[in-house]
Amino acid sequence: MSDEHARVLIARYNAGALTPAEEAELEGLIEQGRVELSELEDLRRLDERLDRFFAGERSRRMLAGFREWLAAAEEDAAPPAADGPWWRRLFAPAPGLGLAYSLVVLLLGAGLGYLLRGAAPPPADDARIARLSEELSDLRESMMLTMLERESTADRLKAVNLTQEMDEVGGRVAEALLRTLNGDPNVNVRLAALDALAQYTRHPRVREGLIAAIARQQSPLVQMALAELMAGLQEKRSAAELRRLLDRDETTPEAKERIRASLEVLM
Amino acid sequence: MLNVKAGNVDQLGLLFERYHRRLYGFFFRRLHDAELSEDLVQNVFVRVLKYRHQFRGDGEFNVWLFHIARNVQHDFFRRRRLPVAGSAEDWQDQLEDQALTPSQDMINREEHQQLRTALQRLDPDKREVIVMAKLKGLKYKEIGELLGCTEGAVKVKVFRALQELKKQFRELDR
Repeated sequence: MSDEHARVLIARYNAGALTPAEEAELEGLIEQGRVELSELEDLRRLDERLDRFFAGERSRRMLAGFREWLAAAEEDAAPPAADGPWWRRLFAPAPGLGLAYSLVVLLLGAGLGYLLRGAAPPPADDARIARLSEELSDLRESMMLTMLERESTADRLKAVNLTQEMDEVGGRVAEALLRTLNGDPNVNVRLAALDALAQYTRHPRVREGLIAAIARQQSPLVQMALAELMAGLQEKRSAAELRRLLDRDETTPEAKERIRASLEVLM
Repeated sequence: MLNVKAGNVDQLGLLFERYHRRLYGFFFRRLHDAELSEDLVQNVFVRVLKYRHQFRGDGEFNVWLFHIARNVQHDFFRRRRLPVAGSAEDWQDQLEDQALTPSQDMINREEHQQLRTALQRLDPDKREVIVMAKLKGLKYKEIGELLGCTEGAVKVKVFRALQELKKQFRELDR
């Protein structure tokens, strides 16, 4: 096949005019290395979008991992509970929890590996896969809700980060994340909860919860992150709450600057 | 950073959020290894925490940060007994703020949601090849070795996966 014919096929692909037989020819040329995927305009644009998407996914994962590491490093550096008041010893992390968490991660990995395997499963396995998927989902949700109540910051961060593996969040998880955003004592856990909730803003309850959360935040970091998120979502219903936050004397100058910038986008 | 130095270690998370993408790009351009680049970014911040008392605050934090990044890179190459990649001064193009405007951020979020949904609708084998090429940063030859096929066959698999992804997009747009 001549280079001229290859150019014709590329042009017909880019015009959306390729027949099935021509598509098979084009695949042959791709396999031989005579046509590069970057020469196909639609696919080049899609490829660029995928680069942005996976950069975002990687970024979320790195941030989640760093917050967990930082929380663990802070806890390692803190004086042991035995040296503190007697009531703190009541809240020492359960020794088995780390093992339980590792087991959940292992099962999730095995389950995900099973779901991602190359060959399509025979029809009889579809029901088993669906059941496994549902069981893993229930296990993950239960683990997350339990760990959110732990005293250890690192455990609560791990709990929030478990939502990254969830395609969807149910009502219980969404409510738990909103409670965490509004009430967790550690700012990094609250920020992680906000990042997690930001993935589910297509749900009205999550959006309403985020708008209501604006009034409850004292930390400038969370205030700024919320203002930025509202601007990114073009959520005009948040403007009233953002203005009230702007008017508070105790809101820091940096947070006020960010809120003003977000209000400009929203108006 | 001055807050971190004063003991508000929590705020290191904010610095990580602001700088980790640039640092990742800095390492990936030299190493072409996604997982290793992620590890080295983490190493940079471990050092930022460890040596926070050395930050004097009389210069830009990003300059100090990239000095640490270059040292992390040099140590990595020295441990592996490899020649150091990149010139000593070529990190300065990393210093510019690449923060998105709110409208760019909104477009990215919508695009992100759409892509996530479209990817979830793909057959597992098609999704897998895209993840290997894009998230794990594997070359087609490496993917071929993992899947037991030629580099050319991998390119065809990627072509078919992207075609299917394009189709899913069209359906989501309707």
